Amino acid sequence: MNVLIAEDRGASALPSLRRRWQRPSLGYLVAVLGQVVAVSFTLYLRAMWPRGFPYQGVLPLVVVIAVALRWDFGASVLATLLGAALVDYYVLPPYATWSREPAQMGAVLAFMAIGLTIGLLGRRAQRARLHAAAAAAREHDLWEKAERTAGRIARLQAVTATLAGALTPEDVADAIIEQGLAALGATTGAVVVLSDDATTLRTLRLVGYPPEVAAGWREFPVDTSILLADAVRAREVLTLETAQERRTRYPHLAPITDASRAGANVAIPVIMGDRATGAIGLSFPTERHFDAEDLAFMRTLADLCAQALDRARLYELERQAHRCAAAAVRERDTFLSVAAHELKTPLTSLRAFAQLLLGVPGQGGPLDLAQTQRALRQIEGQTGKLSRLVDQLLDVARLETGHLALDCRETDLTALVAEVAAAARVQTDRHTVIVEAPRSVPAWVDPLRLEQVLTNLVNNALKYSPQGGPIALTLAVDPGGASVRLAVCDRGLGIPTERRAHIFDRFYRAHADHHRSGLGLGLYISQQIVALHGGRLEAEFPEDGGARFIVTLPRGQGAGGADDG
Amino acid sequence: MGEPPRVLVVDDDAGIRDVLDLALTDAGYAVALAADGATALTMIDAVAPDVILLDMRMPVLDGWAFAEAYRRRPGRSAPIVVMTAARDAPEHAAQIAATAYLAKPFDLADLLACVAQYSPSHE
Repeated sequence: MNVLIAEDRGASALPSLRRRWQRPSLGYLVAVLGQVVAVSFTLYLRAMWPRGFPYQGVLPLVVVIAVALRWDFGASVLATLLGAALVDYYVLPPYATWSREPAQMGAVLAFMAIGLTIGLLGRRAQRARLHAAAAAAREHDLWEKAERTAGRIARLQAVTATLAGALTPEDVADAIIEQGLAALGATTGAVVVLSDDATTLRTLRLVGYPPEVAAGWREFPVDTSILLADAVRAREVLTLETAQERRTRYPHLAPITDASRAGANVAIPVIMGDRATGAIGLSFPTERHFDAEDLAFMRTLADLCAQALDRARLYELERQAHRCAAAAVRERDTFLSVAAHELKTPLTSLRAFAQLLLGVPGQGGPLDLAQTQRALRQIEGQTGKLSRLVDQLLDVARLETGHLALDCRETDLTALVAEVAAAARVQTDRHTVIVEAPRSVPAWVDPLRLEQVLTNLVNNALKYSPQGGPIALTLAVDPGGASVRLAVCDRGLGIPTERRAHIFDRFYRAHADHHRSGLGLGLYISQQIVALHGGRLEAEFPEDGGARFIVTLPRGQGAGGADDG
Repeated sequence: MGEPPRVLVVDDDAGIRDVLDLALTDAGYAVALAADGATALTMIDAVAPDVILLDMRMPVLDGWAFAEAYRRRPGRSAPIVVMTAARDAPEHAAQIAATAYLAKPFDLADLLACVAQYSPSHE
C-alpha cells in the first residue's frame, strides 16, 4: 500500500495508537482482572442486596462481551472460562466450593455457552470492522491517487498551455519549474541545457536557491559530479530519496547540501531524439520515495520541456535568419544608394559637358577650340572614372561567385611599386611619395591585379591625408626569401578605433559620415586579391597617427633572391 | 548692364566644378568654385555670391552644415540651389530650406534656367 508517500504519515499515527490498545496480551490481562473485579463486585452486591442478588452471572458476562468486542477470540475464551470458574466457585451456593447440583452445573455450562457465543460473535464483528476499515483505506487510497493523477494531468495541461506561449528557453524553464514545483511539492528547481559541443551545462533558471549559490552555478562542465550532470550523462532519471543516500553518493557536496537541509532530490534528463539536451532538477524539503507515478509524471514534464526547448531553438534560429536577411537587405539597399550616388557623379559632368558641346538654351554661345578641348578631356577623364567604378562592381560580383581569376606571371615588384608611386605623384602636389625598395624583386604575381591593390592603397593614403605629408611605399624581402612585405604608410587621419574591425568588410566606408566618395569596396577587393595570391593584407595604426597597410605575399614559383645590386 | 551676377559652386567633384565653371562663365556669370563647405565659407565674404549651387555630400563640411553656418552669419543670404545625386533630393532641399533643387545628373539647360531665375539680372 501507498504508505511511503510522505503525505500519508500524519494519517497513519491514529491506527498505530489503536493497534497498541489492541495488543493480545492486554486482552488476556483485561480478561483476568475484569473477571476478578466482576465477581468481587457481584459478591459485594449480593451482600448489600436486601433479598439476595438475582443477576449473579451478568457482570462476568459483561466482561466477556467487552473483551470479545475489543480483543481477540483467545482473550474472550479466557474471560468466559475464568468467569465460569469464579462464578461456580464463589457465586453459586454452596459458596467457596465447586457446584455438584445439576441445576447449578447447567447454569455454569449455560454461562460458558453464552460466553463462547459472545466471543465468536465479537470475533465476527471485529473481522467485519477490519474489512470495512481496509476497504475504506483502499477507497481512500484510490481516491487520493485519482485526485493526485487528476491534479497532475491538470498540471500537465497547464504546462502545455504555458509552453505554447514560451518563445525563449528561459520562458520554457520558467513554466517547467513553476509547474513542477507545484505539482510535486518541491521547494527548489533548476533547468540546465547542454552546450552544442556537449561539454558545458548552462543554467537557464534556478528557483529557490540563495543568490550566492545561484551565481556559482550559471555554467559548469558536464562532467561535474552532481546529480543534474550525472542524469544528463546517464540519460536516466536519477533520485536521491534520503539525506543518507546523498551523503553516500556525493560526499563532496555534504558542506552545501547539509547546510540546506534538503530531503530528497531528483534529476530528470531532457531528451531530444537520442541525446540528452539538458536536465530538470528538483529538491524536496523532506525525504521521500518516488513511486512509478511520480517518475512517469516527471518524465512527461521533461518530454514537454524537450519539445518546448526545441521549439524555442527553432524560433530563435528563424528569428536570427530573419534578422540576417533583413540586415543583408539593408546592406544591399545602402550599397545601391551609395553606388547610384557614385555613378551619378561622373554621369552628371559627362552629361553636362556633352550638352555644353551640343549647345543648350541659356548658353552664352558655342565653345571655342580651347573650351572644346577642355570639355573633351573631362569627358575622357569621367568615362575612365565611370569605368573604374563599374570594374569595382564587377570585381565584387566575380569575387562573390568565385570567378575572379589571376593571370600570374614573373613580375618585378620594384618596378611595379615605382610605377604606382609615379602615378600617385601626378595626382598630388601636397604629398611626398617615397619609395624604399631593393633594386629588383621578381615574384610570381598577377601584375595588373597587384597594381590595382597598390593603387587602391596609395589612393586611400592620399584621400585620407588631406593635409598632405609623406606617403611611404616600402618593399622588402623576408629573411628566408620566400615572401615579400609591401607597406603603404601615411601620416593622415588613420581610422577611428571603433571602425578598425570593419575596414575590410564589403561596402564599409570608415569615414562614411564625412561623405568621402567611394563605394567602400577598395579594401575588400584588395584583401581578396591578396588572399587569392596566397598572401594577406593587414592594417596597423601607429600611436602617432596615420595608417599602415601591409601586404605580405609569397613570391611564388620561379622566385629568385632580391637583387640589391 | 553692370557687374555680372556672381555664382558660387560648392561641389567635391572636380568634373562637376569644371563643367559648371565653363558653362556659367560662358553664359556671362562670375563663377567662384569651392571643393567643400569649409572652403566655401572662407570665400563667402570675398565672393558675395548672388546664387549658391550646393552639393550635399561633401567631405570636411557637408551641405547641411554649410547652409546652417552660411545662414547664421549676419547680412543677407543668397538663394541656395541644391544639387544632389541622392534619391531624396526634395527632402534634402527642404531640410536646409533651399530655394530650389536639381537632381544629378541634371540637364544643363535646367541648371542655367534655374541660375538665371534666381540671379539679380533676371529680376
